[in-house]
Amino acid sequence: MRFITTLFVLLYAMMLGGGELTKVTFCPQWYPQAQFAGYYVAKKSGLYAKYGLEVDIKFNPPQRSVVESLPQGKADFASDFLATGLTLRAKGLKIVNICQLSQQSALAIAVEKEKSGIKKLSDLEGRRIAIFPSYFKMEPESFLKLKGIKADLVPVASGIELYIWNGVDALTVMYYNEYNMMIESGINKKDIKLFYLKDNGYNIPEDGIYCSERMLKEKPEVCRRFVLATLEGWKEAFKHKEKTLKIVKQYMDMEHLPYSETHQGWMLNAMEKLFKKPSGQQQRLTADQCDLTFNLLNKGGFIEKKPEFSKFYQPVVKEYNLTEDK
Amino acid sequence: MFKNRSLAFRQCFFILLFVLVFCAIIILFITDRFYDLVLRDVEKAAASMTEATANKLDQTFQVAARVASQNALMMESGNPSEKDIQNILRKTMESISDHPEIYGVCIAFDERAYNDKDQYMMYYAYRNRGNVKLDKVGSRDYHYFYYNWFSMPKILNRAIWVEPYYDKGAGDIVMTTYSVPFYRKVDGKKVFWGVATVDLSLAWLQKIVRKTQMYKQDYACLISKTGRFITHPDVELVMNQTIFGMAKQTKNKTLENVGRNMVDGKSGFSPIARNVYGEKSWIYYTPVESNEWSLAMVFPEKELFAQLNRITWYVLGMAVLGMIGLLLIVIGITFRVTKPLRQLTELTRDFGHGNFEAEIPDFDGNDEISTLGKAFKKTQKELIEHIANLKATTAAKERIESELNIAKGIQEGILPRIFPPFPEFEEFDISSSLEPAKAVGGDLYDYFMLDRDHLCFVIGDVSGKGIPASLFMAITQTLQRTIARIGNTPGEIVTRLSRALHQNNETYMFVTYFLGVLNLQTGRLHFTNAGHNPPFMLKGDETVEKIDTLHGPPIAISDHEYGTKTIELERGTMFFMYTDGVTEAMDRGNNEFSEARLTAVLAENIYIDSPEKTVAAVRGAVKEFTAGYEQSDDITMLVLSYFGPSEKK
Repeated sequence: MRFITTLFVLLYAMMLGGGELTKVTFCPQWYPQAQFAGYYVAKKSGLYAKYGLEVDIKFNPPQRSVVESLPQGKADFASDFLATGLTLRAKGLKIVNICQLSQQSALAIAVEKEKSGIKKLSDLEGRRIAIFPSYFKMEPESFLKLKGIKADLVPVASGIELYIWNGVDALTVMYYNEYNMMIESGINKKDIKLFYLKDNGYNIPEDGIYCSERMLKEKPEVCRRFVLATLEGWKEAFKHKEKTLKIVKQYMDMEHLPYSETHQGWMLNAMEKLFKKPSGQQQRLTADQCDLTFNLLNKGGFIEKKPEFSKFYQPVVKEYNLTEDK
Repeated sequence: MFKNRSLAFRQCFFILLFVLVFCAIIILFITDRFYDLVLRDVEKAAASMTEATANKLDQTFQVAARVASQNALMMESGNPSEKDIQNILRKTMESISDHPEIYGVCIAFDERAYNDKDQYMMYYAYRNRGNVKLDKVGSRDYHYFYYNWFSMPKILNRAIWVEPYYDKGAGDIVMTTYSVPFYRKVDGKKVFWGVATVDLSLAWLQKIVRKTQMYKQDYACLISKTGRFITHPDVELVMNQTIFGMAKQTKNKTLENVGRNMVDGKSGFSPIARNVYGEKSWIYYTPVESNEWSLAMVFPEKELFAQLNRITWYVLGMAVLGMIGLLLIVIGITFRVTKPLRQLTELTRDFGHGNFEAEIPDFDGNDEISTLGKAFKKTQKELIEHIANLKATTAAKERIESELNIAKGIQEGILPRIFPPFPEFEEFDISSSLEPAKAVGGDLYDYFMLDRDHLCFVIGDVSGKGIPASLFMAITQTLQRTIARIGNTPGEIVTRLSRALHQNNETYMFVTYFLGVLNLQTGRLHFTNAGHNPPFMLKGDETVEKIDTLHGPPIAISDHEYGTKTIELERGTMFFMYTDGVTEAMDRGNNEFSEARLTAVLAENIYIDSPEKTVAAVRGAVKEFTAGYEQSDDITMLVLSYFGPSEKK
């Protein structure tokens, strides 16, 4: 099936006049890191080119959601959390999810058990918690509200330093990022306790690829090719991790970000785990999952109207496996 | 291992082993003590050096901090206009022109806090190519409220040194910022208003740290509060890796613990398995008080202990030389002492091969080895003499034996041995057997024709055995043929023989003697028995008759007159004569063959026609009886079968 598609694509590309590549822009939702390794690898390995695309990966500071820039045409594709995408769709933004990569929630609230004395979720009452800025604060904020926990929420891009200086009692972490950063900053793994959202009833998946409704309608083939190449890029990234990390380093160096091989290696492995499809699940994103997301954000006061699932989620590639070779 | 080695080797080995072990213990002990001493000295030196650098850093930080603190105060005292802010910043930069490590200063207000119009209000003054530049920054692309240098002092309510970072928006370099919050009063309450910051260039900090060096291969490394490397000889790690990430990557638990101590603000001196160059090293760390960073200096162990190692090598070298010297001396002495022993060992080997003539060196001295050597020499002399004697004796013995064999041959020659002796005579048959106890014996037998009709036969036993008896036997054997003449009776013959022998018999040897003369035509047998075993007469009806007549003592010792007896031999009669060697033949139990047994054997072995069969039977019976036991006397038999006068005439 894949082979025929590739053949068709190549023929199509040839029809377009040989070596001419379609220029598109892609914006990841956070600073360059192994979280976006698949895209970097797809670009550097020439996979996008193979599919007739020239992709410009642009970094945007995470103050605003990159998805917002899609309908304006400022970018063609963007990756972002399901919560953000759904919220923006609910707000009336004409964006669609064309590929759901993350299959699980990696969001958690982390504490040091002994130091903070926090043993269960309710102990967070009245404490100071660092949360992510911008749209990323929706999930943890809604979660705490839903659980009836009143805490002092401090939005920071990276809460580690604040936490080390004892500015907060707990911090919101992504399993693949801040959690390991805590350990690499000297906090003993044994002392850390994580309150995962997924363990508390809200296993909401995260990273997905978005584009504007118009983009999908006018250039469905481009969307399809972009997703296919990206998926291949992810597969390649997981298969050759050492090479992948070198590519990630290149992108991080461009933004003068600290590159720790151990940390990015951890992140890459974590993404592999998160992208793995749970057995028995038919589609990569289900209506139930969207309902769960809506419920959470609705309770948090971020969404009022539930978007229509079939309009929101329009995957351009039906079936694929990122982690096994088939 | 030691059983087969020489004495010298064993001695040398054990002496040297002991010395080696003893020396090793001493060296180890001394080295250990010195190691501790050196380590303590090194720790002191490292501590003073590291702390000096940490202090220098502290000073730099404090100077910078003061700048920001002053600016914050100025913001709080009154309502500064934008122009005021710009002037303050410019003046600040001028005042710190002799502090090149300070890169820039800024004043930033909280979102929409300066006035209602501006969301962002932030001014930044910095060095740019020898000049001071002043920028107004803050925009959608530089939404600085989320940055740590702004948010941390706000949240923590205190001034703080921020983790180094790359600031694209205002500086384009890696720096660390000291940020001081300032406040204003709103409705009587103190409210956060903004921050005044000062930026320190990391490159400058690294320069300060790099200046510290005690040895060639040591290096310093500065880590931030989160363990991130601010300076490190491996530039790849700087600003990228944390000490904990490195510990995880190299699976180095010690490094992890050191890191934790460092971020906790402790001082210490610790060994680590591998430094960045892979060498075993020591690390001294001390905190930088101002911003709770930590400075460490890493010393490769081989440099720290270079001098000690050199001394140790010298000592080892001397020890080895000493050992070699000792070895040579011990070997020399041992070999000199055991040289005589070795000579004697060789001699013993020569002796074993039959070479007794080997030269034994003279041993003067009274020690044990000289005594042994002298004894050896004496033994050698006696051994040589003894062997010479033995050789002579053996030679003599062999000579005697060969002469004895010749004598045996001669003796056998004088005994009739051809059978049948008289085949032309049909009247009789004769058979004999003589087995001497030694090479030559004293038994004799003889038979010869006196004339055509008269057979003379003799059996005798000279007293004793061996050469004396054989000589006497020879005399007797020779004489009897001379003396026996037809016409004389056996008594007369025996008497004359006895007298002849007696004449020159000074040794008093005697012969038991039996002589018979048989008339072949008549069967009349005349005989004389001089002290000899009575013969037996055997007939065809299996009767064995002992002919018991004795005529006197054995011959040669007296002038006795011997008489004669006459008996008639019927046709088909055997006359069996023997010496006492037969009846006195002994078995292992010292039992004699005895006359009774002889009689019994004869009774069953009467072969009139074949006297040799009877002889053989008796001989066989005796052999069987003695069963290999040593023969003590000559065994002789003479058997005569008389068939009667011949028919032809």
